[in-house]
Amino acid sequence: MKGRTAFTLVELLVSVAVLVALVLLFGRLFVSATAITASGNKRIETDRPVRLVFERLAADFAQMAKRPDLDFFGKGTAAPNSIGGAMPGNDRFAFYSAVPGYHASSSSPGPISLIAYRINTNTLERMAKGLSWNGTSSTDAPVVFLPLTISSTWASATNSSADSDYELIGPHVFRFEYHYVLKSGVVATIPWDTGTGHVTTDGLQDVVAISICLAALDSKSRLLTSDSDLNALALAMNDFSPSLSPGELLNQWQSALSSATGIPRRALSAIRLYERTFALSPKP
Amino acid sequence: MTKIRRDTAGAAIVIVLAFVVLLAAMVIAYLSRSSSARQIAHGAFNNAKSDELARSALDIVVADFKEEIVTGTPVTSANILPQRNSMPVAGTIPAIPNLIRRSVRSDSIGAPAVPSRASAINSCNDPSSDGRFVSLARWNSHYLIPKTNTGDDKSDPIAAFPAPDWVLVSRNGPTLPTEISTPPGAINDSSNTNPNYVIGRYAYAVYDEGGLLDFNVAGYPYPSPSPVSTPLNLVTAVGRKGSIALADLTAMKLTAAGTTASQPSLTKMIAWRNYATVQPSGVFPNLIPSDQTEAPYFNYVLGTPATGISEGFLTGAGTLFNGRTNQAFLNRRQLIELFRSLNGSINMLQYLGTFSRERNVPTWSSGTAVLNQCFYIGNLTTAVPNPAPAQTASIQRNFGLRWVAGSPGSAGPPVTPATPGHWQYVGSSGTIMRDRIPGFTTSPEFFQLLNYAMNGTNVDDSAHVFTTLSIGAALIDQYDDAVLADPQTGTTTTMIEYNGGWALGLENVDPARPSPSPQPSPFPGPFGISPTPPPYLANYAMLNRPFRNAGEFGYAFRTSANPTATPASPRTIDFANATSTDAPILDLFTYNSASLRAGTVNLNTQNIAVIAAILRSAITNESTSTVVGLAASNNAAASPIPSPTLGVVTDPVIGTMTRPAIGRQDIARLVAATGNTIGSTEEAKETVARALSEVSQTRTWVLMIDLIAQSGRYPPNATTLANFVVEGERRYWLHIAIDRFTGEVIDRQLEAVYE
Repeated sequence: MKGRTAFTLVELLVSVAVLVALVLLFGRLFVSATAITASGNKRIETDRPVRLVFERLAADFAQMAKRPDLDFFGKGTAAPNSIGGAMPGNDRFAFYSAVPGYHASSSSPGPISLIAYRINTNTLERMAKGLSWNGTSSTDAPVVFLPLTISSTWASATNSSADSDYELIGPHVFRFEYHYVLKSGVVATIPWDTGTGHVTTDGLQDVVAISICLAALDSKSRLLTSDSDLNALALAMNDFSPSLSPGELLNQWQSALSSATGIPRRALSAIRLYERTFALSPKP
Repeated sequence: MTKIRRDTAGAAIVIVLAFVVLLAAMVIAYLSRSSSARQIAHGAFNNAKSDELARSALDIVVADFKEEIVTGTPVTSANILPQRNSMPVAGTIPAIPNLIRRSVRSDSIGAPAVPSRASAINSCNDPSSDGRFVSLARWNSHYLIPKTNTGDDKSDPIAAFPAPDWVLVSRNGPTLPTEISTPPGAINDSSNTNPNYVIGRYAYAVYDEGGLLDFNVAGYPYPSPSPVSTPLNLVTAVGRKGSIALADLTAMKLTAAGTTASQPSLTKMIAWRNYATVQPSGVFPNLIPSDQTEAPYFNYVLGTPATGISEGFLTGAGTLFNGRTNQAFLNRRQLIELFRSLNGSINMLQYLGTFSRERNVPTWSSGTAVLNQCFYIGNLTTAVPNPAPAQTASIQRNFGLRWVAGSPGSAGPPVTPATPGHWQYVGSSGTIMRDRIPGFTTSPEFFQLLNYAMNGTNVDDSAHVFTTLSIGAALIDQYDDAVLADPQTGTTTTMIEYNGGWALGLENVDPARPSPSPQPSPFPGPFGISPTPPPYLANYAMLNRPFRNAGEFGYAFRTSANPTATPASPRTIDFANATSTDAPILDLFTYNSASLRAGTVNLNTQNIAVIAAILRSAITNESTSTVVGLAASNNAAASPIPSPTLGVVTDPVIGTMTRPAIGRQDIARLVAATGNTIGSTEEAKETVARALSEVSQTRTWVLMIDLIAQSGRYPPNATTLANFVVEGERRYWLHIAIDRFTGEVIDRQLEAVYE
């Protein structure tokens, strides 16, 4: 019994204090590590699909078919092309590209597809409608040339109506905005250069690039908000204006996020903004 | 007690280990995900990098061509074409007619071309560090090189095609190292300050797409099912040529055995392409045009009426059938896919392109004239007797003519003859009759241009006013019908009064011609007319229809400065002799008023099959509608030797292989090169001029640049130039049209190639 003396009260108090301090320290470290990991995961979860979206867009644009008599539906397009108009809020476009697409039951699939991008219920959708060779069918339309337009032939490529050929390509993307970069260096919301006297799209002859801005929110952060709030936020994020200098639109979007209400800060802070420019190889 | 304490300690270890494992798993998962995301990002980055590299490389290649143009002045036969880095032997057909050049080591290409800067690494035979190489079949995936096995659909090229060598690109641009070297400054030294560090490479081959038939325009549907004999209207519609759409693609030899494309197969393709125009029945791929005379198609490509067109074929017809439009090949890949879908012969693809452009501007020039467009032949439709007042302004602008109404004669005494309604030559402005052809610098009227072409002068010219006005009047009489006549005297002959005399055209049917040689009689009145129409000429072919091309000017009577007795064989405008002074006419007049157009072929094409398609089915005799048949083919198995096609291209003295044409005026030389292979008469010989003059051009380099770029690096342990590590790759087919005379890039189409 002589060698089995107990801890004194002071010893116990000190050891408990050290223990508490260690627990607190490791707890904070753990919380910080968890937060950093979660943040990194959210970032990866957002970056990865957005990168895929951009790669898909790059491939679609690289094989885009451009002729004066071939329709392009987009922001600012006007007759004889499909009417695009100003497109307040989220933008959309549709064009022909030599990329694979989903073909109908037709037995003569051609190598050209109709490509369309749009935001639907706060997600980015892409349509790749594989087109048949001309003369294959009275129902499955082939590539059509002006005066036939994309909107008159495939309305769903230019509006919000359902089409089974749409697929979800950007589940995190809720804001989609673009503008044109013209040969003159001017950024514009209509795809031709009025300075040269042009008045129609004319095969995008004046457009050297399309610059696309996206806003995306990871799936976990989306649970913190509602579709309607996200939609309202998207509307609060400005449209592109030709008066903006390069990069200024994203700055404005960042400001809109900072001043947004109705969405938890945790969700707002997880929103990521992207911009990428795609060269189009215009006519000389 | 001890046992209990041991268990507790064991549990604690297990719990701690479990936490460690859990944390480790979390860390590994996170790192794995981050790493995977990083790899994807790296892949995307390399893709973007190789894309940038490919586009920059294309810019370099194009800049080299532009530099070649700038350096290569003045334009001569020696530099009208881009130099080839494997120059064919004069008078022989090269094994790969379409190939102009490729990136090649020790490039000895002739001046003024810029060598390719390629290193001694072959894209096919020197695999990279990771074993990557570009196979020969891949280099020929466009099928522009003849296939080694014409019996299958594979793209393996003939042995004469060596794969291009790689051009290395350092931070400073294209570089030409012979070895890796040692740091610092080595091509594998990645330090930031090393400008020699190689960041990628590219290899390319350039093809003469302008020497191919643009399948967006070329070819026509054949009657289907084929009748026993082709309808006459089809024979003449095709045979008078005037558009590349009337090239007979069945002339082209596809295999060594001499097989050619079948008419039904070609018809299906045209029915797909011109769907709304020919309104076929059936379903793809078995589309059959509804009108076996093919009238709708000819109306589209020649215009209605067939007096000329303003269609550059850069856009579709704009017509609809069954809610569908005509089609166009949006890129070469689509052309290849159509052939696969229709089971067309892949071998034919070496003769077909999808991109052609030309500014419809003359190349021939003399003096100080500056012409920015050819004269539209269709303007001749307005030069008719007693024109409507609304036409007088344009007639004066285009012809320098003013119509003067005739007056009746008097029975006398004294007897005075009737004065026929006629033209006065007053020039494009003013009202006073001219005693000369006025000088000009730009925008000449018809007679100024004719005089400029035949006499080489654009200054005031009184020496040739009679002959020029007479030849112009003869042209008008060939062009108009035999019915339109002066209402006063009934004469159908074009009469032009100028200050100093009269110049008369020639009609073989003129009711106003006096006996004993009326064609027909009677002479229209008791008082005669003055001047009197010239006599009927035997053996003088009268078209009495609109010209289809400038080559048909060769039917017009060419009066001499001092007319003599009626010649037994009337002399006409001469396009059949190599030294003819009339030849520039071929370059200055056009059936197509479009300033920029598709569907013309490089007159200097080394693809004899293309020339064969243009010549075949051309009419050699207007009165009998005889056509050039197999003689035009490049098919040695079915065609006589020598053939006119071979003459145009391979004549050892004046063919295009030996002396490239500088402009359409050189067609007369090519006519001479064909000798008597089509016929011995001038009309038969000039078939070549009629077939080529509207559909050929020399002023534009239409090229297809096939370029593969790889981003990557040389690792520190690289020992040879082949040890390149490929990180990304991009391939493009750039279709580009560059004006040889101005260096202007007229148009371009970038086709991304995904394989």
